[in-house]
Amino acid sequence: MIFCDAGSSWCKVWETGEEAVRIVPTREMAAGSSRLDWGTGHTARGRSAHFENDLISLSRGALALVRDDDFTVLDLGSRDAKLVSFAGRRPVRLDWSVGCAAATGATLEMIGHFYRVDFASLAVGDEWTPVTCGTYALERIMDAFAAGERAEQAVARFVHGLARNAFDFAGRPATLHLSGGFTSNPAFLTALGRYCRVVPMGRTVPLVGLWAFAADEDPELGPVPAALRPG
Amino acid sequence: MLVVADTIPEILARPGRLVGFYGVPPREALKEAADRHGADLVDLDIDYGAPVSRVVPDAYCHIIRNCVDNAAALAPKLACIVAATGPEKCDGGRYAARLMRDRLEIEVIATVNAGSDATGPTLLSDATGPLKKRVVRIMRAIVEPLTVREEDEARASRVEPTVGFWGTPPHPIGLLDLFPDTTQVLGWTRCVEQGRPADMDLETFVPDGLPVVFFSQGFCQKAALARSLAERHRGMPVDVHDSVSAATRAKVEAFIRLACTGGTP
Repeated sequence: MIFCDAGSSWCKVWETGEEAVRIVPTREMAAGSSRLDWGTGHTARGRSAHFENDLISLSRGALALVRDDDFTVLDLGSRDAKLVSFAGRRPVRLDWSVGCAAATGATLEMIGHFYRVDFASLAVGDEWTPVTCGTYALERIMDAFAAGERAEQAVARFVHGLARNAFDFAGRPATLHLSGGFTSNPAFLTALGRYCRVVPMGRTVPLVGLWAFAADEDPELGPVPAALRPG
Repeated sequence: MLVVADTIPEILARPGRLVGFYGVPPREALKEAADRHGADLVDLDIDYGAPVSRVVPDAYCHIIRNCVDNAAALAPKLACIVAATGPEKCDGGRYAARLMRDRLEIEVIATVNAGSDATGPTLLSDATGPLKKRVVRIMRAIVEPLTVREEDEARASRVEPTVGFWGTPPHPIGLLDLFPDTTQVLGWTRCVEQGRPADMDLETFVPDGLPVVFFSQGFCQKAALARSLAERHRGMPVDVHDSVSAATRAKVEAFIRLACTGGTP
């Protein structure tokens, strides 16, 4: 049985029995003709035997992994930001920002390559660049670089601004459960940690949601497998 | 009579001249203009796929853009335009009236609809059935009131709503296809059915406990009301500009699904 969270840039794919989730570029997945048993995400709708809306799979996955009654989970990926807040384990706020988180993840990935920035060692300071979308932010970094600022410094301010924007979008919670590709960016986690307690959940929360739906249909599937649990 | 059509060429191919209108002008103003010109009426708010006239900016309320672009495309056929320019519409409607007069050189009759003293019934807003069809019929009723049979059918189909749609008819109108038949119509569209399009108390009425999608057109001032009401009633604000994005669609779908399952994903 194949489970897939087909994002804009990366697909997270797991087949029952596999030890780990595979991260595959979406362009490669989209070019293939593989059928999915359970799918969620931008490019999964047309080729999944069972498709779940992104916000629904995120909600279900978060509920399967978090024991708290009241909590907020933010999925920050390459293209957009998705948010679900729970009160009494019921969703009370759903949001999906495309415009105001436009391509922030993809932009960060691109400038990381372009300016050869190591996010594991990038020092994030007190200063930030206001970030509302990737395009505007990119322009500011380029302006700063052209004005003689070190690329690392400009990128660090961008990362800090991104974290502030994510914190605001999430409604400024005391604790934020973070899902998606940004959980593997240490500089971003440090920046976000300035504002709230961050619980990184890795990139598999929507897959856990799909698993939970599959287990509703076939209870013999059992509990969430280790491969899908946050490391 | 109200013209019902899907495209500009369809409307242009009709014989005779037309009186255009937008918003909810007083019915007597529409009748007077139509009688004076011996013309049928055409609602300029609707998306007929008119070419972009560039009279208003691209980044502008799409409903007002529809009004202006339709007026520009239909200009040779329009005897006059009955414009809603009061608080029942918006500043955009007021400015559009001036632009149509000055740029398109069409006679524009500026109207203000304060609403009647008596509040009408909410038959279609509270009925069951495809939401888009009900909203479209509410807007057509500005010119052609419901028949007795339609009223009876609406009354008979009334059930407990499962979700609410608050706001103006959206552009694109297809957004309404995402909602179940048991959706209650709230906000400005409900005000129109009740004959009180400028009544802000009525516009901000939200039944207790009903999960509601608060819609506002991109660049519309009603976004402030939508956001505030969504916060107060634990609803979901949604704004759309020129198309329904995958994200907006997913948000609405997820909200409705959770509303119908009592919050269980």
